[in-house]
Amino acid sequence: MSLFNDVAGYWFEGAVRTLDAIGRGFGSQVSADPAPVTPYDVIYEGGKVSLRHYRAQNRIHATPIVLVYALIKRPFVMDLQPGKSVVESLLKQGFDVYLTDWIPPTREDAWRGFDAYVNQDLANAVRAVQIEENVEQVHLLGYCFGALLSVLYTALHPENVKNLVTLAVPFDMGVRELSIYHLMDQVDDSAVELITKIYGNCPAWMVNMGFTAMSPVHHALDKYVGLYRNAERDGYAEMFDLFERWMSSDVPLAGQIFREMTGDLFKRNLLAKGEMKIADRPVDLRNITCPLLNVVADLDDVVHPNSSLPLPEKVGSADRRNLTFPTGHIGAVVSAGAIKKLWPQVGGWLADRE
Amino acid sequence: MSIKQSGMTEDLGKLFQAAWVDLPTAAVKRLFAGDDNAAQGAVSEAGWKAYDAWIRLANDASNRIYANPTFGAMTGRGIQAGLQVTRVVDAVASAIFGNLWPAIGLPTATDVQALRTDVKALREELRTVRERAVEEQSEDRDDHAYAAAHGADSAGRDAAIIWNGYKPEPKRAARKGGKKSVAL
Repeated sequence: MSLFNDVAGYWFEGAVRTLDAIGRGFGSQVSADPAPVTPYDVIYEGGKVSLRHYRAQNRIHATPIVLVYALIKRPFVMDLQPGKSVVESLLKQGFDVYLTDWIPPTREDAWRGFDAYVNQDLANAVRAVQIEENVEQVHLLGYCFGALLSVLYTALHPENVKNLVTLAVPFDMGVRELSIYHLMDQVDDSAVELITKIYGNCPAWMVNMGFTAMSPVHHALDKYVGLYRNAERDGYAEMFDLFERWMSSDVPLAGQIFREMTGDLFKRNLLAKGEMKIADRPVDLRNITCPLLNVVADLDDVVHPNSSLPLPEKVGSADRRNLTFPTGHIGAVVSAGAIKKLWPQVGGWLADRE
Repeated sequence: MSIKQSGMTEDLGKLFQAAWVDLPTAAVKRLFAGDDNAAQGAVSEAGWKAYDAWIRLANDASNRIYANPTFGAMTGRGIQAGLQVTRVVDAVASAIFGNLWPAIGLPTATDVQALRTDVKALREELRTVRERAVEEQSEDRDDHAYAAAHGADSAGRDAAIIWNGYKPEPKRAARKGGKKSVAL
């Protein structure tokens, strides 16, 4: 009987948590983030980006890492818990880390597309790091949508990037291995136009709905049963709470970038075809000549591995490789296995190319 | 598709085995074993095995539904229709609340928002005035304390702060042919 009572209790708490997130507009309010695990300073804020600086206690490497986070959820997942933090792992390896904390767009920001995010905000953030550190180049490390922004930035501003690391990058959007993508195919351009006409941006609840729809059984039941089964495990419940908080921290996606993402990338796959333009400037991936490490999560159910794997073939770098790791999309940044085995490899790869 | 088909068949087989073979067998064993912990663990293990197989099947089913063109087309049309309805509702609400609502003398959200902004500005103004008054009072207090501490030295200043009823006489007009004042 305890099984049903407990799972029902967890389910109820989850439902309240979701309603609460809807009430406060998901991650639109930055103040709803949990307390930071690793201390940082904000060294730059402009446009829609706030740049955090995490300082290594024993800094070994002169070139800092700029961690480019995705636009659609809050970035605290990169620094979730002591021992389960990508930021902490990189600091321990002697790198100073800068993290892009994207400020949620309001209706007035609906005009923001890839040009605004890549050529203005990200470019300004990298410039701020160059000035702060007095360096000419930085290591760029992008996660998911952030990896896509990093690829675009490096193709357009190659002189500023020493090494590029992409993690779970949605590159070849022609891949339809995940069934949710078939469903998304049915949302045509006119629906996207309607969304931006009604809301200005793609609302946070819609982004959240997309994530939930990717694995409905998991979100409706299995994760609560998982909590019941692992309740005795040390720290599991705490991690579950933090993780759920992150899952409901979606932020709206600015109208223009939502249009470009769904039309130019998802439907027409222009980046992989080499036909993408940002502000009328072609994005030529052969301009990426710095070393590239493309990290692919083998069990990724958000960005299918086949969507990430072709990236190295398209860039102009001589030093390029895929690194596959047996984990999921989010496990790559929060699982104990990834923190223990994957991130030291990433740090080592960067250190070798310092 | 054939790989997916075989995966589903495999999952169905596992579910069948767990639910109809492993679970009843473990339950019967437990029945005869009494309070044996191992037997109880076996029942629990078989139960979870059945659950896991069921979850895999449910996931597989949801994936199949998503990949189904008819379901996709229906969802696409549903989303489109939902958005159009939202747009029409927004337009109707805007027409009603933009024009008809004020016509019957009720405030719109914009009016309420404007009032809120006014109240906020007034609060700010009040706060500033209050702060200024408190500062002035504290300056007065400081001056009194200074006067008390410095006695006769500050007598002149005290006089300047507290009005003692003295009114200066009005300035007389300069006499014609008199000395002109010199600006220093």
